[in-house]
Amino acid sequence: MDSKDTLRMQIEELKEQGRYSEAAELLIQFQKEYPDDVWGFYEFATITIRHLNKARYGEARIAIELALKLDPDSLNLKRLLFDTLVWMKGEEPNVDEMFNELVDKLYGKDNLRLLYTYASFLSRSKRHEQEEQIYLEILRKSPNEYGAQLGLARCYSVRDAELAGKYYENLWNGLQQSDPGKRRKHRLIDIALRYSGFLRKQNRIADAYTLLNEAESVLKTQTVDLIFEKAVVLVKMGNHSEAYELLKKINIKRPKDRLVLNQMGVCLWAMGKLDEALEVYKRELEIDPNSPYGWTGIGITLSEMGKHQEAREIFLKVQNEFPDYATKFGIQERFRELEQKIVDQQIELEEAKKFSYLGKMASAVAHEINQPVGIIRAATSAGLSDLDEEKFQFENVKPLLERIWTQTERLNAIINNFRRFARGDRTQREIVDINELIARTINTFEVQFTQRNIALETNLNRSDDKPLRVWANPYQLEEVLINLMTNAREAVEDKETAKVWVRTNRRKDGKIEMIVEDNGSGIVEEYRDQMFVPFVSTKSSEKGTGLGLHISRRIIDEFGGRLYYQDREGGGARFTVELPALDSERNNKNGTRVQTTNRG
Amino acid sequence: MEREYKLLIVDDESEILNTYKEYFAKRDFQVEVASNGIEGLEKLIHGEFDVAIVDIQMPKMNGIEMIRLARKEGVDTDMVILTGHGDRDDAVAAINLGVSAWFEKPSIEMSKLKDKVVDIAQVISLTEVERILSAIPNGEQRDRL
Repeated sequence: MDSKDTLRMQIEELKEQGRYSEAAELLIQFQKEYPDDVWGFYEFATITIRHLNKARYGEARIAIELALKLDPDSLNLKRLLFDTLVWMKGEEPNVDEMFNELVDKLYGKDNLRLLYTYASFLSRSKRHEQEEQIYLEILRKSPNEYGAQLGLARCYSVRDAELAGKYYENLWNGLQQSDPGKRRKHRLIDIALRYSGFLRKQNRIADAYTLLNEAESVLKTQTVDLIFEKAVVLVKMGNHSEAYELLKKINIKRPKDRLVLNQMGVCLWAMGKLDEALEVYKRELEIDPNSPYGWTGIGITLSEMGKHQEAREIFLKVQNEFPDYATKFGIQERFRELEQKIVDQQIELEEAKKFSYLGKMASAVAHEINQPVGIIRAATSAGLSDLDEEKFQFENVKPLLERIWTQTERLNAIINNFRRFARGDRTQREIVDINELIARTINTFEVQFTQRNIALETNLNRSDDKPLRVWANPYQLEEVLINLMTNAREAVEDKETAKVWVRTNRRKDGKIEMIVEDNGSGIVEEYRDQMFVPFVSTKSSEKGTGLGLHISRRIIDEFGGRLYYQDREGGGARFTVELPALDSERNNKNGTRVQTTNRG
Repeated sequence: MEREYKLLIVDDESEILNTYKEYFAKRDFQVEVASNGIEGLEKLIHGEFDVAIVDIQMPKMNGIEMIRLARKEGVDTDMVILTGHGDRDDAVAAINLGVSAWFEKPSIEMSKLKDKVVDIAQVISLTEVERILSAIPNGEQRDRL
């Protein structure tokens, strides 16, 4: 046995064992060593086309063309080239020509195979009328050809839905009356699936449902594919819970089936179980990270969950990466709606923000004015009673008026403080002494603590005799402090020995800290990530808008600082505002924004 | 007025204390004042008052807490509470503790406050009613009731 035969044997052996890529490697070697032997090229092309990756069709084509140079009249080679060209899915002008050349030279089964291959080429080139003719041709030669019948049905459904419907119906009824046999059952299942799919596409959902029930009773068994088709039909009918039950069963049998997961997502979404829908879509994407269905499902679910920003990102991805699907799913329109929602939410946010700080301030002011108004009221009411009862003496006039005067002064101060806060310019920054700001704020809000028996301890650091100064907007900073103090107060309100601490500190790295702590129950783990997200609140809606922490963090971010949460040692919550000290801030920011005039 | 009523006013605002005290003193009440809850509780336990006027909003120990502790100590003095405008929750809490009346400071009328205080002071306390009833022979008591 010469070395050529040995190599050939090796190749045949590998083929036997199904080790096709290794066989292909040896065939390349064979071609190099024996470039005049057609066998090497022919075998290589066959293996590549039948068993290997589509990416290698090009190599196969070259091999066949080389072989054809050695044996220009080989019908087998010409057929193989024809197949290759069709499977390569390129625009090949030669295909028609080659078909015409081959069709008259091949007979029997070979002829039918050629016709099928050509039909699939025509189908892909969307030349459906010619495709239809090919199927008719096949049926003329072999009237029971199932593939041609199906092909014809597909062509009809493109051209004439009514005709296609009738054709499917005939196929379905005809098959039922045909002789029993293994093939009959397979074909019944197959045609039921195709017919149902056709009916679905024609929006004849009820007909599809009837057909599938009929199929169930005719076949007396269920296949996973038929159950899945039924589930899809149920989804279309809007019966999502029944569909979901079927899909769950299929998912157990076919856990890696992307389509099943997708339909499960659709059902969960429709049933309003958005969290679960999101999970299922994520599993779909684990199986196929490039599924436009999965991404679109996630986008729509997020949008429904009110997570507009996240949904927007996903829709953008779908638009960029799967433009055809984006059109099919109407993503552009959804995207526009979403943009509008985001704008609306932004406006709502701004409104709510304004309402939030003014509301807090207003309620503090309302409490604070109770005292002076109460004193004026009591003093004047007492004076009037005295007059009525002739108990009023002239020397009572001066202390009464002085009492009233003092209280109106107090009222004036309260109102001025509120106006300063409400009307304050929130755009400009200035030098702010943190300790002064805290003292001023606490002056206004203290009442809300004492009234509820909550101890409020302030510990403002002055140890190094340098004021704690930062570059910020005082009103916004005050707003942050009010938010944190209100949260702390509400966290301890029902506690017996309730306490809130406000502390300031200059850290060793020069940063300035403002810390608000309480001895409440702290923030539970799962809420920590969410607490800075707008409109998320654990409080009852009358107490919180769910904006306080979101706004506060945004403000502090803008000042180049950080706002973060930690558990307080010994239990409770601890929020820290960390700001750059003024000196380092000046070096960082552009000099023009620094102004030293007092805007207070 | 048949006798001088003993009145305790508890408020952390000295101006409120002064104004109320002057008003009631002019009308022959015996007035004592306390400027926070702790002092108020002390005086309630050791003194005998007909009525106490108690502010709810106070540092250290607020009015509600003071009344609660006083009741725990067996003090049955009738209480009138003062609240800010619209502090209805506080009022409800106080009424649950058996407070006789509540007034909002910013809309107070002193003559009405005085009338209420007198009204309450004239009513014999429940414990006193029980004492009187227990002195009456059983049969007669049944007939009366």
